Amino acid sequence: MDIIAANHLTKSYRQYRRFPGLIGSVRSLFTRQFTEETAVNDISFTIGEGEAVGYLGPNGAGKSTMIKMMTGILVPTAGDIRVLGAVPHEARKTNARQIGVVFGQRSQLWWDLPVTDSFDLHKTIYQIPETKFKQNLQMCMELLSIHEFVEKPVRQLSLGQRMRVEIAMALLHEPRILFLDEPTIGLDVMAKDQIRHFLRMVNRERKVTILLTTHDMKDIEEICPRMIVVNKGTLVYDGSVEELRARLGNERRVVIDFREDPGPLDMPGITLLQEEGLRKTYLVSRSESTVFELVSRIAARYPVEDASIESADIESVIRRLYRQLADEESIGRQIG
Amino acid sequence: MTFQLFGQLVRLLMKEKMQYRGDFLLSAVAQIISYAGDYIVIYLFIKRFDTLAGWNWPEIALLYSIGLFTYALGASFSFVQMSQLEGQVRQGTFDTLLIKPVNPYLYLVSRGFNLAYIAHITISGSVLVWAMLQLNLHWTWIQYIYLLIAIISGSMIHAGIMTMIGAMSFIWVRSSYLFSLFFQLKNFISYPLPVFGTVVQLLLTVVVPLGFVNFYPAAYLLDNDTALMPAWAMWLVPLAGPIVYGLGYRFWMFGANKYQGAGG
Repeated sequence: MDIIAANHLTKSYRQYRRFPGLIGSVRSLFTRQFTEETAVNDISFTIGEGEAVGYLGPNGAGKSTMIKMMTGILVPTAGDIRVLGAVPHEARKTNARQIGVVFGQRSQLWWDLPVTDSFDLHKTIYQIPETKFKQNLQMCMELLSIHEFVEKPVRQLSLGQRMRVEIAMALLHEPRILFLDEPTIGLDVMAKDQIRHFLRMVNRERKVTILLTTHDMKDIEEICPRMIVVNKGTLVYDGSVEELRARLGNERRVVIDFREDPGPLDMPGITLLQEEGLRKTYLVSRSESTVFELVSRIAARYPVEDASIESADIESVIRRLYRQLADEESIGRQIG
Repeated sequence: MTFQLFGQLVRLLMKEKMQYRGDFLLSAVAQIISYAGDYIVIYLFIKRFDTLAGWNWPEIALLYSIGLFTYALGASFSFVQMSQLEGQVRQGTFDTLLIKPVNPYLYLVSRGFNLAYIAHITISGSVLVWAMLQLNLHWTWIQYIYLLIAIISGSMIHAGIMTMIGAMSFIWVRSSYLFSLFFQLKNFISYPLPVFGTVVQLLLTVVVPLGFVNFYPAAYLLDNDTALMPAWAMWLVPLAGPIVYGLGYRFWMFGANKYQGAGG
């Protein structure tokens, strides 16, 4: 059964025109000129129970708007969205009990009070039975090592500690889906690692469906086997991480340190990207020959001191995808 | 939204306030002094004329105290909540309210329940009792019950109007100037309505019914002239509060719907 199903989903905002100055502000009240901005444009996908999906795209791609529609905060302009079989904004209160939401940049904790108070309040709001609450709290506190600071006021916590608390809280009522909007933003490497391991466990062992937005590709690599990429409101990729890598990652970068300047290399299939004295970076397309073969051929003909092959990490794959999209767009504009 | 949840929220809010005990006490004292100043200004004003539109000093003190007392009760459930709503909408923190399995209005109002109004309650409550003793009233239990109902209804009028202003945050994003307008109007009800011209009397009876907060109930209780309205206007007092508050709530929910994008 699909736990989330979006069908030709569209959300556009009306931006009312404002006029400058005092007279302008009066005028703004009466003239209702507006421009329409489409944040989510005709997007369809389904997510099965137990999946972990990364939802990504550049800033302003409409990721947060999508999460807001799935959680019932916003109502779609057109199309259809179903979460847990219901229309989210209609079943907002009943769905709220079965979903957990973490906003990376909007805290839901009580700033001046110890962490425990926020947990206790959550228990009342979600009417969680005592034993279930204790069990879940115990589990989260242990795996996210919250014990050390559970009696501290929230304002004294580091960002990483606070985010761990936010995530723990979102899971106390045993949601079937966990939505996370940029959960690792601004965190250090250790905190990110701990959160990723925890979310992975929550998804794999406790079978909680996860949907997260992020700009950190490592989040996707470690938690989400599937990713959905959006750009300017439209869906541009939906599939596995490996597939995208295969589709776009057929190029690799090779850094070669020469003993002396070889001049331009006479080799097919390579492009010079960067030059810093005797260290040169090349782009090699893999279809021509294997990278290793190519490097050894260069080494045979030129004075090579050292060479390193950079693997195409997901970050560069995504960068390529974004760049490709931007290129397509500028071509489209030229033709149109 | 349950009583249990409200109780827990109040407990947490008290705990929060006690983190800054000194600050809390100091601002309470400052509020009391500032309102004591207001009483003194009115007292000095009346002293020159003995009566104002037929109301003597203890009567005006009673009128003003009902106004302040009901304002404090209503505002503890609405002022900060509604005046900060504008910022919450702009920064997106309002969204966190909509992901909870509770009524967003009731949660917002209870989460922001403001204990600081204890200062207003203390001073206006004390002066109210003093004024009633001074006036040597021979009330039956009906009048005492009427006063209680008028206080509840008046608080609802205040809260309802502020709720409506807060709902403007959803529609115009900015609502703060409406609050200053509200406070200007609220200044009028420190005095009996007949002091003002017909326009102001009509305004405070029909458009922004602040007259029902203290003037009409006090005029009935003290057997004073009810100005524009006939004597039976006193029976509108218990109705005005629930009506204004109900409208405020409906309008707020309408605004929230519009924010979500369902209002078109």
